[in-house]
Amino acid sequence: MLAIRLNGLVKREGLQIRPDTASVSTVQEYVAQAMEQADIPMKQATKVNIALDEMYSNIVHYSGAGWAEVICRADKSGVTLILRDNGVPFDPLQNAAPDINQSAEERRIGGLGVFMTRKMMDEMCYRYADGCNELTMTLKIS
Amino acid sequence: MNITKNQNGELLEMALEGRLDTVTSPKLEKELSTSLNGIKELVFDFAKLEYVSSAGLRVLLTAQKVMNTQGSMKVCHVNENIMEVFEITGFADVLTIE
Repeated sequence: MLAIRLNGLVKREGLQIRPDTASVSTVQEYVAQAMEQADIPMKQATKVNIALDEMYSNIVHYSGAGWAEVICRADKSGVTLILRDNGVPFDPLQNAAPDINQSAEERRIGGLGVFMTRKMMDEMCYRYADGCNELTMTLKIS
Repeated sequence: MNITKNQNGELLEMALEGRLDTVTSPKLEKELSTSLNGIKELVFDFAKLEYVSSAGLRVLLTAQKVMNTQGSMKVCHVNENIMEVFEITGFADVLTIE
């Protein structure tokens, strides 16, 4: 009885997962479901999906993390997406914006993901605490 | 994501359905790497494509570079979400969108 209660208390919000390539679909599904339950309109949901794809794939490919956590809170006022991982400290908000005025030939590929995420979401906040990267992204629905 | 190819001589049409993102863009990249030989006109039909993330943009850019050397490429039936992505990233000027 006590164990069950404790279990209930320590149950964590969101999805804890090993950030390998195969995990991306699982994470996408979890976020899509959370937004569907909250009736988030297609246009806004797409923005969140793009931001998730950009930032979670960064964790998968570059962080070296063995653990990641994805939390999606969605309601009428908007969507908040929190990504945590125990990989190398990386602040995407310090990432320089790419030169989008270059032609296809000149353009170096890279840095676009962070740039797009910043354009898609209304607020982004990064902190490194307790050995974890934590990126909080918010999209408001007016 | 589903890819439907329709080739007519030197014209290749590719209709994409679903999402062009981290998970699916390697599939398109692979498909393009074996499909563009001898193609002078490449047409992407995005009528059933939901969205494109930067992983997808990379593949489109690679295709554009290949087609710049051997012919032309255009993208048709782009939805509002994808157009927004093309615009904020400058891809609207790089790609031929109809």
